[in-house]
Amino acid sequence: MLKFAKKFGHSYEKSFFRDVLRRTSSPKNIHTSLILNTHSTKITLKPTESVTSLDPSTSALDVINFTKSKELTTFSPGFEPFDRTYRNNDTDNATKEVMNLWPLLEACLHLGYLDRAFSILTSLYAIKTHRQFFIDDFNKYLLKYSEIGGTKNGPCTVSQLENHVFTTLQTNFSGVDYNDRTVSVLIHHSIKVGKTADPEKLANNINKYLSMGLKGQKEIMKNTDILTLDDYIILINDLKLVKKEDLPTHINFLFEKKLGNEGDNASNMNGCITNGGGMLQEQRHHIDLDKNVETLDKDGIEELISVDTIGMKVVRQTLLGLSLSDNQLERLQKFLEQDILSANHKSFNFMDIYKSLKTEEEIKQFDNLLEEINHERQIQLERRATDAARERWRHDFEESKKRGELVGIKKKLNVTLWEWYEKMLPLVEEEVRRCQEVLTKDKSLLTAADDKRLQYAPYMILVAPEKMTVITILDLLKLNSTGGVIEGMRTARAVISVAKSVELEFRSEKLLKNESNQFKTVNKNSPEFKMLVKRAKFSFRDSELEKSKILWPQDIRAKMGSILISILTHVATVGVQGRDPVSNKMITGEAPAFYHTYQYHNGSKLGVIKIHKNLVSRLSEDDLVSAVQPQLLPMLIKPRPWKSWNNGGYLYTQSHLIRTKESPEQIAYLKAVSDNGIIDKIYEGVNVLGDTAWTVNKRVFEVMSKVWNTGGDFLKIPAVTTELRLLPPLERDADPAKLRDWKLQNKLLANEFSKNRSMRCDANYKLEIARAFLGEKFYFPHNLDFRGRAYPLSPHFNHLGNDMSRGLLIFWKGKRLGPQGLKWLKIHLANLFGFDKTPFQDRVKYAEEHLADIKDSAEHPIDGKGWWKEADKPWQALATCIELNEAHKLKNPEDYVSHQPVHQDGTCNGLQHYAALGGDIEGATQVNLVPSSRPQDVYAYVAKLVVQRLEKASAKGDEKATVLKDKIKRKVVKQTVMTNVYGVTSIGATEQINKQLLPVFRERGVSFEYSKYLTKHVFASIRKLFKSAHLIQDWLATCAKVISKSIRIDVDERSLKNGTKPDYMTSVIWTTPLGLPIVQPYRDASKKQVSTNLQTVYISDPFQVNPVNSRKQKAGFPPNFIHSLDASHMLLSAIRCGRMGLSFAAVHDSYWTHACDVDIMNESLRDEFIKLHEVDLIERLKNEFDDRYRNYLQIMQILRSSPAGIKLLVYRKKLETKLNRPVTIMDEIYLEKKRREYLASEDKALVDKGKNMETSVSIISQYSEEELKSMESASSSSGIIALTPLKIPDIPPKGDFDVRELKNSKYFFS
Amino acid sequence: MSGSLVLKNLIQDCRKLKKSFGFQYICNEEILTKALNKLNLPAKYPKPNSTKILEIYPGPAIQSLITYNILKPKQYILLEKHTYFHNLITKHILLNNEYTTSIKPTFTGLESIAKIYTSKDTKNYPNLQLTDLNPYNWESYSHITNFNVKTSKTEDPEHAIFLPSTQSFDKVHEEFLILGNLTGNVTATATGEALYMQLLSCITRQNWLQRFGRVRMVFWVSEATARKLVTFPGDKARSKASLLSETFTETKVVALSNSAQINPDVNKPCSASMFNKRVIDRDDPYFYDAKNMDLIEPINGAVLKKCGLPVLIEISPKYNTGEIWDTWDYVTKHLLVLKTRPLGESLNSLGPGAFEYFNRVIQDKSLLEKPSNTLTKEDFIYLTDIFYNWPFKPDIMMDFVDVLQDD
Repeated sequence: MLKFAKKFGHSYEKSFFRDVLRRTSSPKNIHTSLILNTHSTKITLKPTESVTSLDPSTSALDVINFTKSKELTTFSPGFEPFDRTYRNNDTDNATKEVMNLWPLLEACLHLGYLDRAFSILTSLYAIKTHRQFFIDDFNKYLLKYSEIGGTKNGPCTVSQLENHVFTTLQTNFSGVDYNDRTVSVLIHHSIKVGKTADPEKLANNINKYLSMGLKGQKEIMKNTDILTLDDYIILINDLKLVKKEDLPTHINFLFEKKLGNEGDNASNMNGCITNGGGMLQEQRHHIDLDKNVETLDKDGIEELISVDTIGMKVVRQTLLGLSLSDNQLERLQKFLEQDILSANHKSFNFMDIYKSLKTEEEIKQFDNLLEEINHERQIQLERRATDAARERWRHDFEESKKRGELVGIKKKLNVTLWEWYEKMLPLVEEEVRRCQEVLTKDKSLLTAADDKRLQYAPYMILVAPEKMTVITILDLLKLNSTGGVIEGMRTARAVISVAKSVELEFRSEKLLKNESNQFKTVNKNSPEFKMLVKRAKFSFRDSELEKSKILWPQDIRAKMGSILISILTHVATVGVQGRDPVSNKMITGEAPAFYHTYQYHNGSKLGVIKIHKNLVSRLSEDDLVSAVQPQLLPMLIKPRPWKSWNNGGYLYTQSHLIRTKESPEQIAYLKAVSDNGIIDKIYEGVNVLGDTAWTVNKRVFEVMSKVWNTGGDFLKIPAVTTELRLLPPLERDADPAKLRDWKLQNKLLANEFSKNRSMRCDANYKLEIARAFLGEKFYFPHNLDFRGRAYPLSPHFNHLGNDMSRGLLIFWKGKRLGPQGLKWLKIHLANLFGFDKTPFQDRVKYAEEHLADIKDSAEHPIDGKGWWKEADKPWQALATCIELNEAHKLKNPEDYVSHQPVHQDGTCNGLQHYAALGGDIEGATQVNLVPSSRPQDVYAYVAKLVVQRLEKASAKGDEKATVLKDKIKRKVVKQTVMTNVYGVTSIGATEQINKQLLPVFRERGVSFEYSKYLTKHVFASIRKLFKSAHLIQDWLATCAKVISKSIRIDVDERSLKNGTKPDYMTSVIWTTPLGLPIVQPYRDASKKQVSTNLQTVYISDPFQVNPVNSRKQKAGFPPNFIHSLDASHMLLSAIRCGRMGLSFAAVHDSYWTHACDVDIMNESLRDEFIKLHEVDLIERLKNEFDDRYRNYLQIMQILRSSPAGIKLLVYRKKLETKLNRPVTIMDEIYLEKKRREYLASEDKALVDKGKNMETSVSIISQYSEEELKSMESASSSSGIIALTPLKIPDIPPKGDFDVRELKNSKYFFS
Repeated sequence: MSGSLVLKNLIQDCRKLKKSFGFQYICNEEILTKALNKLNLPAKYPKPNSTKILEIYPGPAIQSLITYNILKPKQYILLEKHTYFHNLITKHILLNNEYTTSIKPTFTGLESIAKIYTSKDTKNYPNLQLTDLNPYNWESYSHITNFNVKTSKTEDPEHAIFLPSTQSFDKVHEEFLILGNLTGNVTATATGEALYMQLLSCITRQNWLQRFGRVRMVFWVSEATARKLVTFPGDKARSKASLLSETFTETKVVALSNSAQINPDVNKPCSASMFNKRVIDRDDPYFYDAKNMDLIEPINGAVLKKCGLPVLIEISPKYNTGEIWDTWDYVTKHLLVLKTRPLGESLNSLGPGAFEYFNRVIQDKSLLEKPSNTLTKEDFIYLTDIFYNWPFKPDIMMDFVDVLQDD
């Protein structure tokens, strides 16, 4: 070993590349960056010939024109501890340790345990790989120290703090330097301590500190979370030591408005923050509900009969945040003729006011006011969930007490919840008290139980016991019937969920507190100034949220969650009733509301927390299966625009741009592009989606709530069901076959029951939210899935939902129809009826022929003929009927101001992208990429091809073909054609086809045989139509297979721990045309065991990087790649439409806008599609792969007896003698790495050395691909392992279709 | 050809077998004979002329021929679905004069009509038959016995392929024996052990083939399975299967390999990888020589290592009224989930509030401290009674676990 190392002049143990990783950008390390590029995201965009030859004037939006960029965009993940995505013994553990110490440090500092915090600092310091980031941990400590540190004689003085910094850094943390943040702490502290004393001394101190800055004053001033507004005022106005220009912009513009010390007379705050306490007080005030404020009083709208459901109560309670304060009413009054101040209005239909406004000026004023009011209301909405819930329970409890209804089993649910709360709170308080106790206890006195408690104690005391109690109750209720457990939940999920909610609460509280701290000096009240402060706060939140990357460790979450849950399960009871088998009398009693138990699933034991069925039925006949997340409702103001990967969306709730399943790798890449400003287009596109204002369609809502309140089933809303009815038990000696059927039937009944219940609940939920948002202007913040597809963050009520949700939503903004708009509105109606395969004029005609039906549907939706109910999408059809009817009431229907989103859907959008990639002319024609006088129907076309094939086969005497040939309808093949793009397997396709054939053949077995047979023909037909596209699909799959079975050259020891069989760690990574890196997250799951006081739970460790799942990587890549393209197309279209001022919304491949703007939108989306595909995206992908995986190796088996095999054996023998031990693959990789380093060196001598060096890879590289193929061995007995450079296969040939033809294809999206 | 020559040829061919579809078959004539003799079948089936035997998964059918010779029954039917064994058996013993049965398979749910092969060796094995019906399907048995599941009646008994006599439940059936090999994977997803448990539950319900009376069953199972079946309270392997066997049957170890491990110290809890010595002393089984048994090896050697060698088990159903069988089933299942934890901890899995109720009703509180796997069958009957009388017991004693979604 040593001999080997010396020979190459490097200590083998000190894996040098690890050290080098931190110097990625340094030009000195060119030879090492070669290695880095292989796993960093170096992207080379190579424009193809066809692109460069294009006339630049064809591009309307140069900035979007990503592909024209000739510049090389190189970036690499920063490799902070959080981002380490490669696997390595040392760093892996270090990362975990840092990730565990950070939250602990955060907690201890928050609580003011300075000594403990200091010892955590010592531990962090000890982690060598973390050393370079250590100073920021120290700064956190220092900030707290400056607040509370000091001696008995008083708070710490300026010089004490200064001394503390420098002595500590010298003695305890040698080698660590202060930075600009350290300086800002010192400045902040000197102002705090010295502002009232000697100004000269203060100025001197500050001058000294300012001169200590490493990167200038700007850097020091940037730390807005340390320096308060007060500090800035003193620095600029009083001491005049800092220039305004050096302040961060959002603070700077406050100074433009002459912020001084004059604004003391803050008589009317109106929710404007004067100090932290003030805001909280106002919150409390709002939720003090001693009146029967059942729901928001929306004028004239019947209240929904909602049952006593907890979720609903919470939502309603939260929605009360929507009601207006007196001051807000006052401000609104000026827009109204009627007197709203005297009438007891609590809410308004803003839509009605908006519609009544006449002049542009009025509208502008109203918009501004609404935004101002809504901003205040949005804060309320996000911040009040738990308090609101608790207040509501208390209120109902008091009411019941007054009425004397506190006994019996039919107590109001809220009363029960309040009782739990009251019983649980003292126990939680006791637990918190004990946690505090162990934290301050002398270490030598700790008992074993104390030690256990000590693990989670610092976290347990961060959030008030009252809040934790409410959170626990709400969380357990919301998890009802999740994870496949009926009337219960999996323990592992529950414990984590509860703790996560507590964590979330802690974070937003902290944010709010910092915010109040920062702005506590601001108390001016002019509206203009308030706008400025609002802007400043926005920026402040941005910077705060961006910083948070601290997560509580999973095992801590598990332990905390289980403690809270077990306290609740201990105290929470429900009333029960039962018949005593002995006396045969009905008796009542109390039973636990939650209980921990185990169930068997597929033979393995599953820990679950069950909810007593009495409680479940009380949760209502419409039990709320979906999560209760009042904090994630639609927003009343435009979402915070996305500015970085973790910054955008709600005001206080942090969201990430990409929804990841705790994949650190994905986050690292995302962060890298985000930090480098590469994905601004992505932000822009997502922001367009978020900026679209919506409101609730009142007319449709009225119909829905009427239907709802009857309780019967209607369209897809199931009727109310109260009790699960199972089949009567069988006789004891029933045949096992019968018994099995009986069990199966009962299971189906149970599933059906719970499905219906959850569907009804879901509908209830949507309606209730819709009702609260009637007349409101609201927005949906969006983020993306890992392929880049956009989704609204608010889960329950959004435009992605079912027909019911969509029917309830219209654009806030109205636009005059005009001739084209009227036409498109009619087409939209025809489309909703499924009449979408004919030319536009026919669809218009269809609507016109039904004018009487439209009128009847609009005017008598329930008691009329109900034509609208026959539509494919009835609720949306009703909404459209209403608009058309209103329009036709006008003298000129074109004058109608329409709010209805009109949809344009792609024709099998996945195939459209494939056809464009592959250039299949016939395929492109069938999916409407080629102009045509009528829309093409790809499903019908494929069905036709299938029939042709069958006829041929039948003629040759194929019996099955003869039976099938006249049974092939469009519908039979539709689903298979649609899902083919997304990699449906032959089994899956057979099932799809079987579903269609079953009614024909009746018997399952027979039908299945025929389906199996037919599937082959369907596949073959699709293949024929999309020939090149399929070659591309195959190519994508092959690439994924090769990549996911490759080894990185700077591999670490652990992935080779199995000797010759390495763990494959490489996932498929690519960059979308908009620059978004996509990392396929498919890896083998590994779970770690955490014992809690409920049970042992198995939890996946988010910081563990596991070997890739090659099968999933391969199967997932083709569809994911296509999705990344359709997502890009959507965002490109969104940006374009946004820039043209269109209202734009999208559900994947369905794009929505106002009827009058459909033509403009259509043109834009065609242009963007052309622009997207003018570049050979496959070639681009190949280039990227070649670059990204350039230094990777593959493993193959070479015949021992082949020329290469013999050479290899000789080489290994030689090496073995040299090393005096058997050669490992690791050795070979190491040598190859060295060789490549030499070759890449600038030193000619080293290059020569590299050229002369022989490695196993260089031996293999002498042979051509064909030669190697002939030497490949199928078995390990006749072969030996050989390393070969990773080779991405060549791109398949492309067809002749030119995507520019699309320009005039009006049925592309229609 | 004499009977013994037929057997010899068959064994000869078996030695060439390279696979056994995951099952383990002992092919040594001497070992099989000694093991079967240990059962003392002639005493238990005194009337060969009316005795019927059904054997599932006979494999190469060597054991079948030996058993045939011991009992010379009126009818002996083999259910084997693997074509490989099928061909082997037809080649050596049976005519391929398949005939289709006269019954209509409509009510049995079978799509194809069974093929029945009868013996060509009328001299040696006149009453031996083979069918390719799948022993894993309940319908197969309804089919051969002409049992209509819908009407719960045996229809057209005259033309049933195989219909045993019905005997009273006050004794073990004397004219019907079920034999089989459940050492392997009977389907892609279910092991022989799973099938064993299903057959066992038929005893409690007295349905399926147990509707003819208390029908004795003799199975080769893997060691791992066997150890779960025959335990004493406190053994590590004590499980619901042990309790079921103990409560509703008399289950005995008849033969096992001399390599099987036996707990040396009776006073210490028996580990899960050993047989309880008290069981061995009680049952006095025949120990065959593990080195000399001509085992057809399962494909996967690892499975063999994990499950151990075949063990012959005899199950004689006990008399039971089975009235609160459902309740017993529910109670034992839930209380044994945490079998090494004190009973008190698992009580709550019986339903919300169960602990408080049991704690109130149980006289001897020390019972609550005992781990569930140390409780006797009487303890469980006692607990079942208490549960039965609980007014607030759950009215639906079924768990509906849906398809699990991953987090």
